[in-house]
Amino acid sequence: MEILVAEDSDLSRNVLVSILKKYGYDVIEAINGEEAVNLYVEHQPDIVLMDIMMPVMDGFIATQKIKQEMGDKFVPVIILTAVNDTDALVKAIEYGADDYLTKPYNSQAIHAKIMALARIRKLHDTIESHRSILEEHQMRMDAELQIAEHIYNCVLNQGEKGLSLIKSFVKPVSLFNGDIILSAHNPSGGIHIMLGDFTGHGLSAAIGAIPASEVFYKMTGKGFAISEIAYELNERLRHILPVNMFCAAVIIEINVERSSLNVWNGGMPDLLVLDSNGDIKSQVASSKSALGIPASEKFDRNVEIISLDGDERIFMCSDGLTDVRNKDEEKFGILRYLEVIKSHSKHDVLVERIKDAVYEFSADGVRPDDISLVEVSVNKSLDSWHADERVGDGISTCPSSWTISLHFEADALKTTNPIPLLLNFMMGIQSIEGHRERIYTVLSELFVNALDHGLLSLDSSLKESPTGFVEYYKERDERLSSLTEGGIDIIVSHVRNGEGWKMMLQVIDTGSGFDYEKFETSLHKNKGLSGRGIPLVFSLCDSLSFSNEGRTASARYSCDL
Amino acid sequence: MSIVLKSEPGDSSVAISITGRFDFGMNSEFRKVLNETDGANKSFLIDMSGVEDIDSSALGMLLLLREKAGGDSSNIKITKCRPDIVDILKMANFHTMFTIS
Repeated sequence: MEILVAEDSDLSRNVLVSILKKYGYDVIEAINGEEAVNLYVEHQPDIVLMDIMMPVMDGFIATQKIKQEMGDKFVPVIILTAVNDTDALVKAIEYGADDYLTKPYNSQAIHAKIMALARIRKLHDTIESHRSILEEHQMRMDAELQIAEHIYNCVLNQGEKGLSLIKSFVKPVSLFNGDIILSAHNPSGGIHIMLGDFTGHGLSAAIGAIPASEVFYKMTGKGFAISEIAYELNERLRHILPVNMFCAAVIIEINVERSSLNVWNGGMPDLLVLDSNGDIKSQVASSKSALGIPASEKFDRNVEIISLDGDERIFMCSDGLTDVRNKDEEKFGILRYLEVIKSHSKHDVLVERIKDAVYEFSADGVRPDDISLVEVSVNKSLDSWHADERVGDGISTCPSSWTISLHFEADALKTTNPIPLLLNFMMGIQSIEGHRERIYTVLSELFVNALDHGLLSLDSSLKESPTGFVEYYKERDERLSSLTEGGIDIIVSHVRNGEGWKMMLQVIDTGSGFDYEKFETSLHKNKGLSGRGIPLVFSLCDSLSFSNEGRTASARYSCDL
Repeated sequence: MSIVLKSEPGDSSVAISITGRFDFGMNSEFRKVLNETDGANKSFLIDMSGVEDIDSSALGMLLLLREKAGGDSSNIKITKCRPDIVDILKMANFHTMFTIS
């Protein structure tokens, strides 16, 4: 260990130096403050012993300069003073000195003090080196988090931004949100919205959000139903997430044309539907396991179906909202949530009211988890219900003539919805951009019609009342699962007809048929009848006709590509 | 908050009692308990009478235990839960995977 001694008196200095050397220390000698500062800079000793009264520069100033020089390092400066000079001692400590020794010197006391300060110095060095390692880690971590945040936001926001009918409030605990809100139009003009809550929060929770959003957007775009999307999300998350991580989620499809709301709720707080009076009309509790938990064969695909009048508001939240606690450790809870909704139900943007209530409640408390709240306004007249008609993006494939013919037997109909797959297949042959949504709608309505009324012989007048609506779908599920024979053919031809290209769409079922003549007559007279699907097809196509006792539906659609 | 494991080597039934807030803070303690038991062919009885609150990471821990105890063939009883905790377990559909009373 190297010690710098600054002392102008030769006698005093020599005594001190000889004591230090006796204990085996290396010594550097300075005869005034200025020389001490210079020698400090040159030798970087481990400890400094400093006299106060010296010529050229006194010990106070020299101590101050040396302390400035050492920056973040810790080199103890010990002041050498007379026993009775406490004023000078206090002043020296103020100038940065760490300890003192009194004259006359006692060699054992000097050695003990140096050892004690050397120990403190070592401790300081250890802390300092840890701190700089931590700082470096922190910097690297920050840089990586910034990149991750960028990727995360890009992936999550690849859907349609700012659907005006969705208002949300999101409050993550950390930089990354373990809650995700995804929304996109499907090809039949409906909207899919998913609110998901991954176990925990922060980066580990957010990692699962990336594959989940990819699955959601891709499958929604291709026209898959929410039950199929939920199934696929479960498969994907079950394979990538550890056993103790999962994603509670509520996934909904709102289809204003069909006046229906479909809800799949796995592990989330109740979804609420408020009618135009602000009363709670439906409440959908979780009835399924969260995504990423059940094995494929145990997955529950059933969705709750609620009929809509076209003027409702839908609320979804994560349990982070009901779990916020006040200073008395009391939870906000579902009851307070319902209370706020009831008492402010007439308010335009209820999300803001709920947010204020939660903040007020938890002002001095804790918000342990990410908070998300989504409000969806269902309003038939809003533009945003209608999917943007995508204009051709410049890829002009030459129209050509072709026919696709598909046949499905009863067992296939139970498990497959062929329409999204068929659409994608057609897209592979021919660019039908700008017509995709319409063709999708026509095909799926004709398919549903053939299946529901042709093969399953369901009566659509059941759907006229809200309870009948639900019963209809219950009955449909039962009949479909016991279906053993029959089948549906779908034939799509792209042909030149007169001046332009036409898409000829035929859906044929083997059911018992129906009185199509009466049906067609009423179709011409009245577009508001219970079967909303067929009038819609009728309005989209050049022509729609039934033959073979109603078992064959033929539609002609103009698509000038 | 603590987790107490009661079982003798060779016992076919393992009793676990949990008290306090059952959340991420119990993660390492819970994993330790998991490591101490071999899981297979055993039935588990989890006493939750002392649990004040439960979060999603606790649900994850229960899933880990279920996996270790044989997944679908596991036999895990969760007992003496407070009503609000039963609600949380039901919301997560855990009554289809565990016996809750």
